[in-house]
Amino acid sequence: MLKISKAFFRQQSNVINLSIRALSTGTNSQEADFGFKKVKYEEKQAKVNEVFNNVAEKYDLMNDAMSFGLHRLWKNQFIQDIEPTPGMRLIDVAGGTGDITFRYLNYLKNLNPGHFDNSRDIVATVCDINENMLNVGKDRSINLGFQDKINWKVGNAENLILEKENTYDVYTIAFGIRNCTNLENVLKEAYRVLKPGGRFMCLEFSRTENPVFKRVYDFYSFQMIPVMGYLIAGDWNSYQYLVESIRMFPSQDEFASLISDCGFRLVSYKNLTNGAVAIHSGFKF
Amino acid sequence: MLFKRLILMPRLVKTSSICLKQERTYLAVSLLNNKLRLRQISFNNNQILRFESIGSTGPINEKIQTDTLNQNESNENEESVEEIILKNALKFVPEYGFTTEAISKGAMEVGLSSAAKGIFNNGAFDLIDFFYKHSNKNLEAYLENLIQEGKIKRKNELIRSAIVYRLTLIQPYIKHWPQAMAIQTFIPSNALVSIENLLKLCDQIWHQVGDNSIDINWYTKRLTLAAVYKTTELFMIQDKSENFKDTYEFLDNRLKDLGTFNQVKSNFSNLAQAVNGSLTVLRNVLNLRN
Repeated sequence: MLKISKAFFRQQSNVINLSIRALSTGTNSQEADFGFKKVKYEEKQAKVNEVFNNVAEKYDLMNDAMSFGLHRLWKNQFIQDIEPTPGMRLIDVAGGTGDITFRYLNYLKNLNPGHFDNSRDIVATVCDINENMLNVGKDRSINLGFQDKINWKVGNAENLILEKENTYDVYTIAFGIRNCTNLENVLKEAYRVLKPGGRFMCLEFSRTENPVFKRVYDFYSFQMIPVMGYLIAGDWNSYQYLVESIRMFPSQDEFASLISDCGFRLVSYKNLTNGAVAIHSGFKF
Repeated sequence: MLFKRLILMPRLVKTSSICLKQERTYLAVSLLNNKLRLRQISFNNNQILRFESIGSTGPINEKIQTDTLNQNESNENEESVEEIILKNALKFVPEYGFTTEAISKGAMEVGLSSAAKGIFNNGAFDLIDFFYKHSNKNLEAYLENLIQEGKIKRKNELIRSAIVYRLTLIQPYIKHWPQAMAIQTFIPSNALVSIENLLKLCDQIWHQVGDNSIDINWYTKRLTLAAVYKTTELFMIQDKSENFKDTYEFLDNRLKDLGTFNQVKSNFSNLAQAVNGSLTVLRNVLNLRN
């Protein structure tokens, strides 16, 4: 299965690569960042996929351990900013283990329990490139009783082939966009699948400006996280990649201007925990 | 502010339109008219022509042609989308109250996703604030008409009819107005804006009625009017009488109070003069003058 999916992704990224060559911006279209290393453009996706294959099982446990449980607060804040209402359609891209989607559904359930239980509509689509992560999410959804509300799909954020234009009200991507090879493609796809007036929401690690906090944070992420990864999930390199990729991701302002360059309007962001994490938001009009 | 709003220029403008922009000032009037007309069309048909033309991937709309117009549109886009959504949201206020739900219904009414309510960081308060300012604008137009007609000459009566008209604007939403008043005062930052709104309302009324005072009266006039208006509004939210008869009676009484207040005030200033005069006399008698 893994081999098949790898071949599939390689094909995918080749297609993208070709189109980029055709447009030929002349900049580093041949190389992509993989942590601090440079890899060939078409190889990044496969490498990222490998990382997540390795960590899928222990992903949620590691999240708790690494962030001291803070990631739950960040995600709750994220959902609160979305303000789900009944009737909205959500697409959660790179939402593998369903963390965001379950929180979203829980919010709706608390809002109006009767209505939520009675309606048969599919509320959310979860899309992830990695089937192992999706399987973890599916199992959890059965435990939580949300299996009827969610549509699980394997798909690449840079090319959502299965999705039609103007279908979704909210597009979320939480701690996922960092791992994509070409940010612009992801944002353009997001713009395509959203309805007019729809909202793009992104939760992602970002830059902290506070010098004191930055020192602590850097020490912690470079000295401790790979060790914890090795001890808990049995994988040093994947977590080394994780912390490096956070450093390579554009800063809040850069990312915000990238979002608005892709057509989104009223782009704004909000820092959480001194900017260790940021919520970006944009609207399609 | 936690939520930093970036005012990022649209890409269209970024590239090469700076020179164009200077030329465009000459066209302003005709363009403006054009735009207003277009907005009217799109607004009436519940379509979203205006929005579609802006997105880089969206279909290019034939009706809104010419690059210059497009660029102007995109510059102004943010403001007017908000206005349109909120205007439509007001239709749903009787049903949903001043809530984010009403805003999302309003957005859906113009063919936008309900997620568009996220534009409004302050949620329900943005809707209330918009309603307040919108009503103030309506009042301005109404008063202008009234003054031009010239039927009512006396300032007192003009002020009374202004307040009455402003109150009738609230009456369709009277069921939810207590909630709105609570939201306006509940959060300090909201309260500051609300107070400013109220003072602007009073300032506007006095300005239109014709107030030339340049002394302390400038303040007292506005503050007393604010007091009258706010108390009447408070009275109205618990008024159960037919057509708010009691409210208007209450208003008349308050305006009468205002008259008495002014009398007392002028008496007081007379008193001050008298005291001053007698002091002068005293000083003269005692030969203290130089």
